[in-house]
Amino acid sequence: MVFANAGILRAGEILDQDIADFEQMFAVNVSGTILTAQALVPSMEAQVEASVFVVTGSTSMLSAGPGFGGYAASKHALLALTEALDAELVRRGSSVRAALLCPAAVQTEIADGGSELLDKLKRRMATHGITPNEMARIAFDELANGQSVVFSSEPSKVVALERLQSLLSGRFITSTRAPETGSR
Amino acid sequence: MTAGLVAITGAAHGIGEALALEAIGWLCLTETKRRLRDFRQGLDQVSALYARATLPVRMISTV
Repeated sequence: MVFANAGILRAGEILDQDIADFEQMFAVNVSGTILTAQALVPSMEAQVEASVFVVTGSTSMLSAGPGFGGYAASKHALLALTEALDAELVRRGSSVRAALLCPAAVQTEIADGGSELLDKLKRRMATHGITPNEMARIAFDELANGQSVVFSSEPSKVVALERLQSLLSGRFITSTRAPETGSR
Repeated sequence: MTAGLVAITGAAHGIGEALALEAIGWLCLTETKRRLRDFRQGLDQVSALYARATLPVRMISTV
């Protein structure tokens, strides 16, 4: 079993953020996951037992909001990659399957960084988030039950559903909400 | 679900660290030395890739 879990977060509005931040997030979050799969899945397939390649995604792979566009884009990429990887593994009759963790707020250090955006996220994680241990327990329980996509909370499913419904109706979900700041 | 070996990237803290702790309960060491060696070579490849990029991540394997 492999957990491709390494990930970083660089916050910033798209028009202002340094391109290096985007590139670093995609290097770690996306390329790192691909390289991990390429390096380890062959060894996993050589084992007798079936195993799972688990990617740590985020609710940010099912939603996008101001200040975290680059991070959300990298997590959207992980959804596509993991889904495609699983399909490819099935098609070649592999003993390995791909799975995806979809944590909402978890009280980790990922939002440490000192910016206003990150501080706001960190406060939300502190008040609404679950602990990493709770997330890990959910992950193992759900994977053991055969789930391929593991959510950490029911409300995050509702958010994802609302977003999809909004897109299918021809609107971004943000266009129906009042902006948090009126500076731009 | 069986887990002979568990490898986790980004296991230094946060969710990865918690997954590592949780994984210990799932481990059953049934691997042959050959398979273990092959697996470790894969881990070394990934670790080297991360190290080369000087990224703030590291990998551990719990065996």
